[in-house]
Amino acid sequence: MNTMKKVLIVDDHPLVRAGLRALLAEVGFAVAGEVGTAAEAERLAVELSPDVVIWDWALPDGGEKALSRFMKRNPGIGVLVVSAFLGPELACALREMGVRGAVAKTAPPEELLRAVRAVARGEEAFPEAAYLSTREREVLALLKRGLGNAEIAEKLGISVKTVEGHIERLKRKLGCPTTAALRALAMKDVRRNG
Amino acid sequence: MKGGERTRVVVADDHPVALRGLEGILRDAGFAVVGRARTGREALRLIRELGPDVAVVDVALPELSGIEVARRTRELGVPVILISMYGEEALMREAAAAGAAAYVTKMSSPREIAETVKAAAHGEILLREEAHLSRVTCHVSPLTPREREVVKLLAEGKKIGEIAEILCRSPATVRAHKAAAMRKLGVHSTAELIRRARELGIFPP
Repeated sequence: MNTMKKVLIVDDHPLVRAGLRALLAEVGFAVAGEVGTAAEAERLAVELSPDVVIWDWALPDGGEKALSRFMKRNPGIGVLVVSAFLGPELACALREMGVRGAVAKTAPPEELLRAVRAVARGEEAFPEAAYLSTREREVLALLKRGLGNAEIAEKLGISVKTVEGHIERLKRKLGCPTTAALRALAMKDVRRNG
Repeated sequence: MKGGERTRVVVADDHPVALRGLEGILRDAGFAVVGRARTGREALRLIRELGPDVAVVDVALPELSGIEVARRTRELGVPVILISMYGEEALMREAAAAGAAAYVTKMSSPREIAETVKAAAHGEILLREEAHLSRVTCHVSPLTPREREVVKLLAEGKKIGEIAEILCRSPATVRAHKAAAMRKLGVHSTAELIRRARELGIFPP
C-alpha cells in the first residue's frame, strides 16, 4: 500500500469500535474517525473523505434507507457492512443495493481485514451467501418453512435427487455441517435490521 | 483477588472484533486477560480451569448462554459480569437470578466496563434480584431455563445427541425437555418450536 487508506468506523457499540480500531491499526489502515450513528457518519464522511466506511447494519438510526442515502451522497466511498447475522437474504440485498462488501460479526478477524483491503481496492467482498442461484434460494425458502425433501421436490417440480444436490451445495456455500444446521440458518434468515 | 497482583480476567464473546475490543479495554485499564472464549462451553471450561478473579461473558453465546455460564459457575465464587446487546429488564432479572455479579450493555463506555470489572473483583455485587423485581413488569417465560437451553440449541441446528453432550444430560432427558417445550407452546414439529420460541422472544434473536 503506497498511500495509507483512510477508514471511517460507524458502529454504536464502543466495544466494537475499540476492537475495529485495534485490528485496523495493526495492518496499517488509518482510522480517520469513528461515530455511533448514521447521521454523524454523513457529517464526518464529508469532512474526512475516507476511502472505506465500515458500517454496522444495526445502527440506531440505520437501516436500508439511511445506508442508501449515504451511498448516494458519497459515491466514491467503498462501504463494507458488518452485521451480527449475515444470511443469504441480507447478503444478496446488500449486494443489490450497491454495497461493496459485507462481513458477519462472527467472522474471524482475518476475514474482516481481507474484506476491508478488497473494498479499499475497489473490489467486491461478499461471503458465498450473497451468490446463491435462484433455485438455491427457492430451496432455502422451503426449508425455512419446514418442508421435507420430497415436498420441496414436488413444489418445485424437480426430482428429490436434484433437491438433495441443491441442499449439499447450500450446506457447502453457507458453511453448514448438517442439514439441521442449514435449516436452522434458513429460519434465522431474515433481512431485518441487525 | 490477591493483593498487589493484577486482576486476572477471562473474556467470552462470539464476535471476534467485540472480543478484541473488550480485551484491549481491559488491558488498557491494567487487567490481565488470561483467557478468551468464543462459546459458552469454552467459557465455562476456562473459568473452571483458570479460576480467574472475574469473568466478562456475553449473554448471547452459542452452545451455552452467558446466563447459563453464570448459573453453572456460581459455586466456584468467580464473579461473572454479563455483557449484552440488549438492556432488557427481563434478561437482567434472569442474570441476577443466575447469580451474575453485574450486567452491562455493549453501549457502555470503556471506563464503565473497566470500573465494573474492578468492583466485581473486589466482591461487589452490582446486580440484585430484589432491586429489579419491584419495578419490573414480569415477563415470565412459559419455559424453564433448561427447556429454553434445549430450544436455543435446536435453533442452532444441534442434534439431540450433541445437545445432550453440551448440557451434560442424557438424550432421553433432552427429548423430554423438548417434548415439554413443544407441549407448552402448542407446536408439533421442531421447525414450529423454533419459530414460536423466536416469536415469543424466548431467546435473543
